[in-house]
Amino acid sequence: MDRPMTGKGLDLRELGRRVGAENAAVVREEIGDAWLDHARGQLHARVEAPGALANLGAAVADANVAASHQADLARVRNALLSPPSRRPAPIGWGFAWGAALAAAAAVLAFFVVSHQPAPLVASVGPDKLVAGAWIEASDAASHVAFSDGSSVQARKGTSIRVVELTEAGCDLDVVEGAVAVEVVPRPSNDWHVRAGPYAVAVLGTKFEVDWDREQRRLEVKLFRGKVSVTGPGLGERVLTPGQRLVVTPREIRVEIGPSKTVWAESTPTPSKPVLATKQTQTAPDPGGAAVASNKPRDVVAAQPNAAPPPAHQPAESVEMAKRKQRRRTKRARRRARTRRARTRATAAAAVTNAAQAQLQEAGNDDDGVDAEKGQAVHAPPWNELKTHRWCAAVEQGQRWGWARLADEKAERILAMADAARLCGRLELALQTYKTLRRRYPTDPEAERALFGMGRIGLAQGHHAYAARQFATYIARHPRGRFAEQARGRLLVCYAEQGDRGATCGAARAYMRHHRTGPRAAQAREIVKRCNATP
Amino acid sequence: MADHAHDLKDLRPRPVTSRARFLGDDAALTRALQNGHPGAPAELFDRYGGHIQRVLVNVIGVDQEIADLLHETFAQAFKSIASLKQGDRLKAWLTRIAVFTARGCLRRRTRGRWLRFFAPEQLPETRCNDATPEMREAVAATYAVLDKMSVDLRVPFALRYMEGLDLKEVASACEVSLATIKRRLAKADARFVSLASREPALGDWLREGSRWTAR
Repeated sequence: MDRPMTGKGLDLRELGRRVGAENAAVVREEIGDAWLDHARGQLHARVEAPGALANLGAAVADANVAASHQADLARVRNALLSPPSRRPAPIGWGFAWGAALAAAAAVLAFFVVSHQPAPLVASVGPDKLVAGAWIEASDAASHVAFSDGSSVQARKGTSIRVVELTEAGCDLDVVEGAVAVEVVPRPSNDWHVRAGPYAVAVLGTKFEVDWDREQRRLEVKLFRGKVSVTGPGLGERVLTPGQRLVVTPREIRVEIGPSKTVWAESTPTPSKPVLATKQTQTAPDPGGAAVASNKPRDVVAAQPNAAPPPAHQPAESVEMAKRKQRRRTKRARRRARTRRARTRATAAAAVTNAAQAQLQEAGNDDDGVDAEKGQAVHAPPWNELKTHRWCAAVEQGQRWGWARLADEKAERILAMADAARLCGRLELALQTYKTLRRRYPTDPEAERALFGMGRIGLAQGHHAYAARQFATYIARHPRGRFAEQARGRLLVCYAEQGDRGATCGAARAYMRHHRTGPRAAQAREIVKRCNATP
Repeated sequence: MADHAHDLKDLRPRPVTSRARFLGDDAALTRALQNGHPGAPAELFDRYGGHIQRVLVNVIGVDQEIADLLHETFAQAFKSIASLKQGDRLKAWLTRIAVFTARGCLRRRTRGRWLRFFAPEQLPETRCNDATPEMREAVAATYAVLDKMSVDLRVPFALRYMEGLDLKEVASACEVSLATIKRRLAKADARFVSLASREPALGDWLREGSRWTAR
């Protein structure tokens, strides 16, 4: 028993049983029960060690993250990526040469700077845009013109942000909605259009990007040139003219035939940016109009300023405007229908919620079995979450693939963890909270995950574990959203553990911070008792 | 709290130049680095700087030298990016460089141990503001125990239990076979448990059940 054990759990367990069976009586006689208890404790510690090590490791890693110097990262980044600073030239023998070289360098620098290509200038009407500018096309389509002749048209209801303007191009972020981009080809072009997690790299081309933030649906239509689309689950897709790429959480689809839109039939690229601002200037191309009427799409209506208006076809312009109006009405009706259907579904869900929850409880627990088979066919559980059907969300999440949650945003992971907790799937909830904390250690949602882990520990009677989580939460977020609840629950944990000193300390801390809190009476009583019997 | 957030905001990496940013997945980023895209190095650092810093801190502990090691890792990565054939393995490749850099640092320290003028406990304490006193003690005791282990055992142990990598990832990061890493981890577990059982600050952790172990 004196020799240190090896770390293999099973071997240790077996060894422990044998040693315990053969020597227990002898040990009890010779050394006494106290030592045996101690030895059992040691054995237990060793048997459980590999698991406990993971727990310890996780806690140490958490502490490391908290203690890591953020400044290091910024400093190293600057040191690595900044251009090397010039060392001062030694003054002495080479002073004259140095002065001459400096003068020459100054002349050269002046020449280079004066001939350096300036960054692109973007403007909406008369207003010049700077990097970081937001363009909200809330009332009507908006047109952004660039100094190199390129242009971007944002459909009504679209939000875009100009991330960066360089001499080689522009970095645009489509926050929501659809844009039509036309980039004038140049050898040094470096244009990027981002939409959610996806990015479209451009050389010289004409294309449309439609990003639906709610549905996480991306649609890229290429009319001319070449673009490369990258993003999660997509890798890198290069589109050729005439192709349309649709990416949704369920599928990735490349179709042929976007050329049947107004864009493809529009007039050749204007050499100057088109600064049209009124919808009456719509391209009245007869071919385009005909095709558009055959295949009405949202994006068609989004391009009122796609080409400069030839002045000799006013009747067709009016016709086009009427068509657009009809489409708008149709769209509004469709949206209203969808809203009504959703309301009905929510009401029905409220009635059947209890029954569904029971069904879920009675269902099998084959986590991930369906997920592996049906990743491509099952929808994500966001709709169930929105309608507060927690068990249905868990069930749907498992069908969809719980592991895929790791790729989602922090708030979605948290929502699913909460759903699992509220549905009573505590183990699943605990794992999901841990995933969130590991995946987004510095995200504000990680704070809620930490608190959630404590709640689960408390609910399952693991008071030491729960106390650790709550204490960590309080240490990190002393004025956090759940600080009062964490202090109250910590009090309960310590009391349940029978740790008198810790309970007194927690009660005093509670009274100090939350004198009028919901557990104040309880805490006051505990403090009184602590003071009465030191 | 507010001041802290303000500090972090100030320290957030700022764009160094106005060069075009790179956008794309790991394979595309690797290609861009190999082709000398001006925005690619910054993107590599922004994407994996935090991860590499975490790996280094977990293997070595919070230390003054972390910034240098981080710098060394990325400098080495930029230098040898041409040798990376599978672009989608960029993260694993960077992790491997970080692990080898950390290993080199640990070996250097082991060799230079006889030159120390101070005992480890006399060295200035590193910052760890957010953790509870118990947690700080546990962290200090853990690294005191790890310091007594050989580098070949310490590195896989830290990657497995602190960084939370699976066995294959640990094997890949240490550039050894799966069987070797399993053997080393078994040895490391036993050694750690044996040493840690003498540390009072780690007693509670080791006695705890395995229920909460899955991370």
